[in-house]
Amino acid sequence: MSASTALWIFATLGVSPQSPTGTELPLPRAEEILGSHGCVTCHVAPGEAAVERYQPKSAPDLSAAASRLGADWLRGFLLDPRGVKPWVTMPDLLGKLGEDDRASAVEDLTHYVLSLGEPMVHAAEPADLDLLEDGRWLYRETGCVVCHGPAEPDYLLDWTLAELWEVETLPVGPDPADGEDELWVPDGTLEPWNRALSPLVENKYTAAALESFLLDPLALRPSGHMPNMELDAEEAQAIAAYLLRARVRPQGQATRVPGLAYELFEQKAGVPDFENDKPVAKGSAVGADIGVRRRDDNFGLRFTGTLELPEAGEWRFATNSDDGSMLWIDGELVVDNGGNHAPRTIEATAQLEAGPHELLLTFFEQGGGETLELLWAAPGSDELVDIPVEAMSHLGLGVRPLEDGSFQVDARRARAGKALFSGLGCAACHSVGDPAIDDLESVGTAAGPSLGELAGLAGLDRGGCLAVPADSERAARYALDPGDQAAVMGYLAGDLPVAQLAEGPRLARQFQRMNCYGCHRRDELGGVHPAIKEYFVADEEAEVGDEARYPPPLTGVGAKLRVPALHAVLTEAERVRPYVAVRMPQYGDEAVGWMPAAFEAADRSGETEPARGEDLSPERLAMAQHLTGREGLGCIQCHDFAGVASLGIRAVDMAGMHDRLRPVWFQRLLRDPASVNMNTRMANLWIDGKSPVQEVLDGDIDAQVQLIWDYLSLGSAMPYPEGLVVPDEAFEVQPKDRARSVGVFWKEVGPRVVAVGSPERVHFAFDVGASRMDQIWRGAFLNARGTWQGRAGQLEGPASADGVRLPAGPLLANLAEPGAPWPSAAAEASGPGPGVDSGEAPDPDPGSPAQIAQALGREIDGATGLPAFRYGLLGLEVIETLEARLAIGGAGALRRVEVSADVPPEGRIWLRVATGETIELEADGAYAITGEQPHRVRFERVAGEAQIVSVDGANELRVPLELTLSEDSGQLSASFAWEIQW
Amino acid sequence: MVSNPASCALAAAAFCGLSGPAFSVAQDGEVGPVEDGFPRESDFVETVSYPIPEGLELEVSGIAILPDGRPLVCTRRGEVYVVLDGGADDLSGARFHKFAEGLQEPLGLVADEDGWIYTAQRGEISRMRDDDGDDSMDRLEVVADDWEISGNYHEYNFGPRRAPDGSLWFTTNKPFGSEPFGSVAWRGFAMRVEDGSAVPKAAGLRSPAGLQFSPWGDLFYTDNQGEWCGASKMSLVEPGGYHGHPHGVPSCGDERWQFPLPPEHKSGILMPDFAREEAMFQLPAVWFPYDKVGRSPAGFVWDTEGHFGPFRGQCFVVDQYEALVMRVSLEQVQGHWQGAVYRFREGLACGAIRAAWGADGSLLVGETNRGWGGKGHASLGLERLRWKGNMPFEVLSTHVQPGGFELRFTLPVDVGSAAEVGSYGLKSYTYLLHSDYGSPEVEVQELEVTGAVPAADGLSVRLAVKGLREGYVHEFDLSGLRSARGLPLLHDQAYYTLIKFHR
Repeated sequence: MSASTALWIFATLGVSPQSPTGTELPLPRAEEILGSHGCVTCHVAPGEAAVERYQPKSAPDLSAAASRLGADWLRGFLLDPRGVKPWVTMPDLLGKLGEDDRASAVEDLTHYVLSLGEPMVHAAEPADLDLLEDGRWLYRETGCVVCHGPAEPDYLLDWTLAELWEVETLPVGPDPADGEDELWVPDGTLEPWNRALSPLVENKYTAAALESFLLDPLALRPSGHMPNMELDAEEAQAIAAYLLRARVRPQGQATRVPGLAYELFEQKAGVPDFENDKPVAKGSAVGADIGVRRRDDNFGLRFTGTLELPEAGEWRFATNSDDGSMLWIDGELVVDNGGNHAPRTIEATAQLEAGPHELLLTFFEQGGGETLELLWAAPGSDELVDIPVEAMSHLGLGVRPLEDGSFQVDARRARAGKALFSGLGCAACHSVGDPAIDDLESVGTAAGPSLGELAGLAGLDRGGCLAVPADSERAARYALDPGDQAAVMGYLAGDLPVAQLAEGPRLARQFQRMNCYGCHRRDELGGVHPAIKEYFVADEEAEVGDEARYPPPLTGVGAKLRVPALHAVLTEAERVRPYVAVRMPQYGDEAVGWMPAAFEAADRSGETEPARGEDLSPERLAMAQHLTGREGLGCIQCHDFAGVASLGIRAVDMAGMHDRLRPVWFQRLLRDPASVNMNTRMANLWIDGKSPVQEVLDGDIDAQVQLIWDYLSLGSAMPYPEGLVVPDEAFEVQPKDRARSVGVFWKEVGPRVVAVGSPERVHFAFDVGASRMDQIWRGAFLNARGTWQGRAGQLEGPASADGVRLPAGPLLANLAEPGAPWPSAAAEASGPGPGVDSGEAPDPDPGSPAQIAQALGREIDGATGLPAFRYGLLGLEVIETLEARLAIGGAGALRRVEVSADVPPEGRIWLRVATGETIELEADGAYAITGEQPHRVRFERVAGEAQIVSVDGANELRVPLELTLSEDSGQLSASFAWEIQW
Repeated sequence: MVSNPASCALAAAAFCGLSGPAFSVAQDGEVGPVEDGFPRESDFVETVSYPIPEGLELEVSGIAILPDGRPLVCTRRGEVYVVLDGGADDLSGARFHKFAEGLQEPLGLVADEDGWIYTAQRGEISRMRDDDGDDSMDRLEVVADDWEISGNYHEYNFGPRRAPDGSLWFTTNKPFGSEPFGSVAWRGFAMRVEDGSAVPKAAGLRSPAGLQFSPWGDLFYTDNQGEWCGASKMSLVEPGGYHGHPHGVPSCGDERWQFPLPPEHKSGILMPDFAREEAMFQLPAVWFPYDKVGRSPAGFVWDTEGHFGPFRGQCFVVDQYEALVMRVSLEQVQGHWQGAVYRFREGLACGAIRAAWGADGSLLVGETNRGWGGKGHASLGLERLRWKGNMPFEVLSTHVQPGGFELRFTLPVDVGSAAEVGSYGLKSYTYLLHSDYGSPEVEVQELEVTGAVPAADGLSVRLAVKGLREGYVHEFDLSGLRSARGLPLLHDQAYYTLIKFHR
């Protein structure tokens, strides 16, 4: 038995879904079969509610089958679907034909299906062993293994695939007869649901097709039974390579080939970091051949292989290279020809035994000419010569193409196949991207009696789909095992359910159908089976223990998480626990989009949400920072905060909690962590029912919990707790105790902008060139790499997208009438001279001439470091700034504007506060603005009466400027302050 | 540092005229220690780097001395720091207090007696002030900003410097690479601030990284080799002058340019030829032959006080690539300032772009090599150079004479070797005005020294030379000379840029 066959034999030992010991499964077997086997495609179910119960599984879309499926595999599959894929739900539609007719029909169908879409490319590819090894671990750790089972026995994992390919016979595993101690299995745990992959999968797909299927399985199978595992392209490529590893190197061929293996590096300059850089290409080279390079400068090569010495003795080795090269033999540096230099030969001697020696040669080229020669001289020989290719060898592996290219679509057979495809009813389940066929679905449906009618007909002796053999011309042969047959029969014999399921049972059925139970435990059912626990791993740095390994239990999750948070996890691929290696599969909105609301309905009790706390004043903020900080309750000892690592283990980031958690659950958790159904390591915070932090809110636990909750409402823009160690990351500007200002080029705005960040984590960008505030954001402030690294000069932008762009144009304008279009803001400098191309953005509204402001400077608040920017506009002097305004539910900003003048300005001056699709004055006195920048505005001070003005289909919030004369100074002035919330 | 106009009121002749040395060399001055037989630069000038706290990216881009004597530095990251407690010999107690931040690539500082501190940002000349005496900026005012920037990194503004008449001057770098917000005017100019407006005074500059008023009140700037700038140079700013880089010429069509339009020209002409054709085209005071004496000259200062021993009246230029201080001796010939450049002190911790005299007469050097690399072990910093009081054997100054040169020395030369014409190697070359990046040395000629007459005191020698050419660098190899005590010159190369003959 060959080594690789043995691997596959193990893999075929798939296990059918099994009942948990002594527990009744939520999903009746008959309903499961009616859904998974597509029964209701042909046999109409009695009403929506019934369809909902069956969740019919969709068949693969075949419209591009030619580019991904192998002909041999397809033939085999059509001849014997269950033989190829034991858990297949596709019926055998050809069973009723005689052997010859069947073979002919298979051939016709194969030609038809492989005429769909572009034909595949048949090319051998080099095997990438690193990629295969990556795939091997990804298959286990991302969670493929939960449904598909292990693809090779665990005891082989100590060997690399390359080693396994090289050995004659596989290492032998523990004798199963020895019998390990029986695992203790918690009640309700389901047997691992192994939808074992067929060994023949190696002949099914091209690597590219499997990779793209893994990247987006829902495109081919929209019902979500094969979910999207959120792999990136490299991961999908690695897993695909691993699953198709049987195509690597035909069995029996020598694994060693002459020459050296190479890895090509393309570095920015100097010598590549051979240990840590990622090679841009790999392959086999005829010796130390730099012909494999893809450019002439700034590249590096690492050659590896085995050097066979015909005799023992003192060997001389040399490299001649431009630029540097180094030769190691058996891990010892022999020739050091390093450095940046013109062609130069360096030689050295080594006393070596005859036989194989490990060779490693590195080379780099920076600029100019490039050359590399690897030379030797045998003991006693004077002459250094090129090391012959035959003296070197390396492991050379290729991936055999899926097809040898001999399969050609025969048009006649394809036509016959097309007729069969529609005639047999294949089209009822499969799309082929051909309306003439796809629209035949209805034919299939019409063709069968309804489910209700079947109830009267059912009976194995009566023939039909379930009969063995099927006797009807039209019936499909499902070959269910007797138990399943009986289950379906029994089900159809009874009254078909028509009522909608309650949310609880509906969820339980879904958990079983989609194998959620494979990872999650809910209501005493499911959870990771002890037999597969070792596949669940965690980022060790997280040190959260089992919480970092296993997906969380979901009992009562509807009372814990808000509906949008459930949606984020189920359909938006949010990863709340980045340290858990196993992925939360994405089943698609169609399959699971209903679940969040169902969780809520099933799990939430009638508890009322607690009232909001007091406002988040600076004093309350400081208390909260203390309470959550190092000297307080110590939340930061375990929990990350807004992306900053905790002081200890890496428990869930607290910045996301307010958005995710329901307040009642949060209160229960904080009051008594053991009371919520969560495998948590969180300790009880209160000692003998007393808060250890007596200096905050008189130690009142309820008030402290409420304060933390209000604080968390600031989300990712939350100012950091006391004692959190915020790392000084390169170029990351983090205002810690004072505001920070950085002069930058700002994308989409201009080259003369000051970005201002505050420790309250609410920031703004002021365009000094046009004298206008451009945007406000919160959370991370600025990464100034583009301004502070190298020659710099990059256009910067906010480090967080959580913000509001302010209306384009100047803040103040002289308008002929209240509804006149707003002018644009022009950069103030004089226009360029003739012949210089002006890059100024075209005036967005030619009807309103640009107004020119004059930057005057800035004033810095000594206490906070916040700058206020001064400019002249329309004969007025304006000074404006923006400060954080904390509020429960999310930080906002307070924009302050002071306007002054010596003499009354000409015309009617207006101040524009906001633009949007709609603007509405709300009951609390705030204006709600909708559109691209939805936000709310509430005036604290306003010199004039705000008006909502409709301009060109949009709305603007404008205030006519009313200046007041000061008796003392004789100056005219007006003062504005408005809060901005989003 | 010429922050106080009063200190500029010195007559040029007192420093650089031809009427004899401006000071007497101490005949009995100690020559530096002679381990290995030869003195080294470090025997004469000591260097100490300020210790910089971790996390402070002190990429010094401007230095001024506050009225109370404390140094003030600005950085490329847009911050300004007061240097505190830097008095100790080893600078170990020095601390940096942030005065301001949020400036956009400020590249110079001027600290006035009245408390205002001026700087050139990318988009404006600004002045800053600490009103409450806590060494932190309370307000910033725009002094002038009527030019645009395109968002190109290379559009630096250098300066400002204050003229003897009190006005502020700065230079604008031309862009290099993409201009995300569109091409703009007035790049590659020397500008004077007049009534809050920047008025262009000289065109055709490339990368004018340093500018300084001479003790006699003329503005000089240094420019960096590149396209249309065949070799790095130091040039005089004269109103309406054109310095060869055509990038900014279209701007001169604007009425703000009060002079005739700069001449159009082809690429690939000899600079002296073009200068003969076009009076507007201005040749430099000195060229810095590439790689022989620096690569990227930037800030410079005149030593008006004799801080650096015998070199009072001369000029010291820092180089960003070579981590080197260079020395320039100038003289005025037929109305043109020209002179020679010599290596002075290499081995700085990092390439330098700014220099200013500290209150104690040491030279503070501001360093950053970010984006350009260069020699030295550090990538940024502030370094102090101090004269140790020893007397090196150096060429003090080089002067063109009718039919030859006069070289002056800091110590008496060995009259025997100085009288040998074979002791002198001399060649001349010039550069092309072209669009290529840098020019090779072209029209190279070896020159014959036909006579050498040392003065009786050994402090100078007159050379008769055949084939002097106007508009050419004259490169001296003086490795054959020895001092009266038998030592070689500390630096045996001198590069005299001969623009005008002495008649």
